[in-house]
Amino acid sequence: MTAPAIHQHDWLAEHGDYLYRYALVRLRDPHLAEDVVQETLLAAMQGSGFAGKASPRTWLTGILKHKIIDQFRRQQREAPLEAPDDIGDDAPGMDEFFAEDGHWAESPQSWGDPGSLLQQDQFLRILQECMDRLPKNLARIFLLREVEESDNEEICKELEITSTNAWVMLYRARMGLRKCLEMNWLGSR
Amino acid sequence: MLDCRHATLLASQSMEKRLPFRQRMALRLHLMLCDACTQFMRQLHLLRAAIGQLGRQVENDEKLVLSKSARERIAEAVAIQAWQNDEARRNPDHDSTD
Repeated sequence: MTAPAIHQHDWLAEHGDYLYRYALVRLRDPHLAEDVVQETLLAAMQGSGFAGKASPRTWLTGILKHKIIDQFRRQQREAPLEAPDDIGDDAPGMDEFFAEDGHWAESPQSWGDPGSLLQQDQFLRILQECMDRLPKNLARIFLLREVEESDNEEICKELEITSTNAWVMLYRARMGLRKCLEMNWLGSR
Repeated sequence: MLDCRHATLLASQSMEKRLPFRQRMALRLHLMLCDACTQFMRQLHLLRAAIGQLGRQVENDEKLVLSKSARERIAEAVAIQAWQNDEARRNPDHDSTD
C-alpha cells in the first residue's frame, strides 16, 4: 500500500509553503519554522489521521499551532528571559518611561490616522525592525498573542498568559515597541 | 487615583482580558482625564492591528517558500514515516508479540 504515502506527500506540496509562512510569522526564524513544519507533517501521519471534518489545511494548521507553542516553550526553557522573581507588581525596568511621580517622562504622540497608517509599507517595515530589536522571547510571546484572532483563549491558556510573568512580558514588549516606533516612525516623517 | 505608570499596566492587561470591575473603572476614569494615556491606549490597539496586518502579509506572500534543501529534508522524513507506518500496518502484532 503506497497510497497513504502519496497522499501525505501531497500535503507537503500543497500546504508546506503555507505552513512555513504561518510558522515564520510566529517564530521569526526560518530554521525553527522549517522544523515545526516537519514535526507537523509527521504528527499528521500518526494517530487517527485526517478525519475530513475541516479542510486539510485547517486541520494541519491546528497541529502546527501546537507545535509552535511547544517550540516556544522549549525556547523559553533553554533561554529564560528572566528569573520569575525578578518581576514584581511594579514591573521593574520601566523606569526609563516614567518620571518619579508616575507620570510619563515623554508623553506618547499621535501616530496619525490608523486607516492610512496600516496602508503604509514604511510603517510596517519599521515595525518589523522594532520587533527585531526586542529580545526574541519577548517578540515571540507578543506575536503569538497578537497575531491570533480566533484562538486567543486557547493560546493564552497554553502559554499561561494569566501568570504575572506572561503579562509583564507582554507589557514590556508593548512599551518597547511603541517607544521604538515613536522614535523611528515619527522621527522619519 | 491611578498614576500613568499603573494606568499603562492596566491598559496593557486590558488587551489580554476583561479587567475586574474596580480596575476597569479606575482605568476608564484615568483615561478620561489623561491625554497621554489615551494616546497610549490608541497605540496599543494600533499595534495589534498592525501586527495582524503584517502577519497576513507574510502568510499570503507566495514568494516566501520552503528552501529546496528544507523541502527535500522534510520529504525524506515524511517518506521514512510513511514506510514505518506501512510496516506497522503489515505487521500489526509486531509490537505486542515481540
